[in-house]
This record gives sequence, structure tokens and C-alpha cells, in this order.
Amino acid sequence: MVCTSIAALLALFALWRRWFQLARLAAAAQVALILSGWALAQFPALVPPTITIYSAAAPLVTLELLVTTLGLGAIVLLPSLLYLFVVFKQQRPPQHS
Amino acid sequence: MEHLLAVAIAGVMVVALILYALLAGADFGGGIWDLLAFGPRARQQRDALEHAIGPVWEANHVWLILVIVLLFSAFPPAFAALMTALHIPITLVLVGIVLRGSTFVFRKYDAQDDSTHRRWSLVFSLSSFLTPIFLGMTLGGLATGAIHVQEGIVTSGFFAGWTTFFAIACGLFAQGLFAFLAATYMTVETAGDLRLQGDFRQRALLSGLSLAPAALLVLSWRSVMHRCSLPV
Repeated sequence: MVCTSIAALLALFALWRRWFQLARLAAAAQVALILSGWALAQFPALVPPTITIYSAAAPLVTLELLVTTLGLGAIVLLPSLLYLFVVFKQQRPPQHS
Repeated sequence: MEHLLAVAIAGVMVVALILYALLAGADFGGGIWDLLAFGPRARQQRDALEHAIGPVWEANHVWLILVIVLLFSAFPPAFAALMTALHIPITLVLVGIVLRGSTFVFRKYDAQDDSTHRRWSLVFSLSSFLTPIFLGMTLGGLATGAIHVQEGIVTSGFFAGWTTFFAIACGLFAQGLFAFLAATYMTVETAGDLRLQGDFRQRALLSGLSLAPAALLVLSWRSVMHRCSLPV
């Protein structure tokens, strides 16, 4: 909660001082902290108050397969997404048109 | 072992949800600023937004798809409960995502500056404006703890949770947050044009400040619930 407020204030302050790179970072941190705070607050409940991640978990073999597939999928997905963002979002000098 | 894997998968879901908010959330916010573009540089603002969203908006949805696939594969009873109890806001989110995606493409490849183009633009920006509210209401409704399940059957009906004051506050907060994110990102994207950058800086500051009362609203409600020792 404290971290979230600090990130929020930092984002606004950086915008005010025109430190735009820092503002973008702080705004992203703010959103990430809000959502992780919510997740931690209701852990281990998944659908509070009755369903938790333990009571709702699929059989062990499913979970094992899922984790394996996630690992394999990440090898394909993460570099591709990174490449997409490098191609389209890297800093370029202003174009003259 | 089973518990460890369940926690790990739930952790991946949280990370994916965060990435969805950071990336696709900013695309929704871009649509909001498209709707609210004003001033002498409204046209340039819209062009810059379109330029920023264009290449990445489809890829950004991979994170929501990951969350949903993990939910129904790893936690099927929870998926069943959520999709039953919250099917109204979730369907509205889905309609919004489809409308804004398709109209964004239609207007991009359509003839410019005619009435058809303006109509697509309006649908795009309106659905971008409304969808984050329903997204926030869905999560807020889940967090209220009002969804009750007995032996796998939802007993609290179709309106429990997401129609509460708290969930609506969460919806407005999500909308403001996405708008703030988008405007902040745009200040970096428009680094080549000082006046345009100034426009987005002003919008980021305004939406960032407007988040404070919404956050207080959400927080005060939660502390009241805690005091009454109700599940939050």
C-alpha cells in the first residue's frame, strides 16, 4: 500500500518535472503494485469466500502438464513479444515528413 | 507438491493480469483519449494514438487469453463459478473488446474523413471508454466475496458482487488508471513534438490526480468491511 502510494506520487512528480521516462516506469509500477496488492490480499482465495486455489486446483497431472507447457510456451512467446516491442517501440529520432 | 504448483500457476495468472493491464490497459486508455481529444491539436493527438496502438494492440490480448486458459485448465470449479456469477459483465467486456478491435481495423483501412470513418471511430472510442469499467466491475465484484457457491453451484445469482457500489468504484478506478497509463506512455511516444507532448502531459496529470479520490473511495470501503469482519 505504501509502495503503491509512493509510485503514484513519483509518477505525478516526474510528469510535473517532465521526466517522462521515469514517469512511465513509475506509472507502470503503480499499476503492478495495485494488482499484486489485490492478489495478495485475497490469497489463497480465488472466488472469496468459498473457493481457494487449493480447493479448486485440477488433478496433479494436469497441473504438472500445465507448468511444463507454460515453460515451453514462454520460450516461444516472450522473445517474440520482446522483438515486436523492440521493432515498434524503440526510440527513434523525429521523422521529417 | 500439488499446493506448490497451484500457487505457481496462480502467480503466473497474476503476472499475466498485470501485463494485460500495463499493455492492453494502455490501449484502452488510448481509445479513451481518442474519444476525449480536444483543442487545436485534436487531430494530431488521434493520429499519434493510432500510431502508438496500431502495431501492438492485438498482441497485447495474449495476456488475457493466458489468464482465462489457465483459469479453466488449472482451476475449473473457479472458472465455472466466475463465468456463471459474473457472466453479464464478462460478456459486456467481450463485446467491448471485439467492437473496439474490429472498428479500429475498419477505420484504419477505410476511406478517411467520411461519415463511415467517423462512425467506426465513435464505436472504437466509446467501446474503449466503457470496456475498462466493466473489467474493473468484474474484478471488484469478485473481490467483494459476494459470490457464493454450494457444491459447485452458484447460489448468489447473476447480480451479486459486481452491482455493488464498491465494484462500480473499481470500474471507474480501472478506467481512470488506464487513461492515466495511456497518457503517461504517450508523453514518451510523442518525444519529437513538444506541444503534443505537453497535451499528453497535461492529460496524464489530470487523470493521475483524479485517481486519488477514486482510490480513497475504494480503500475506505475496504476498511469498513474489515471493521465489520466481513470477507473482502
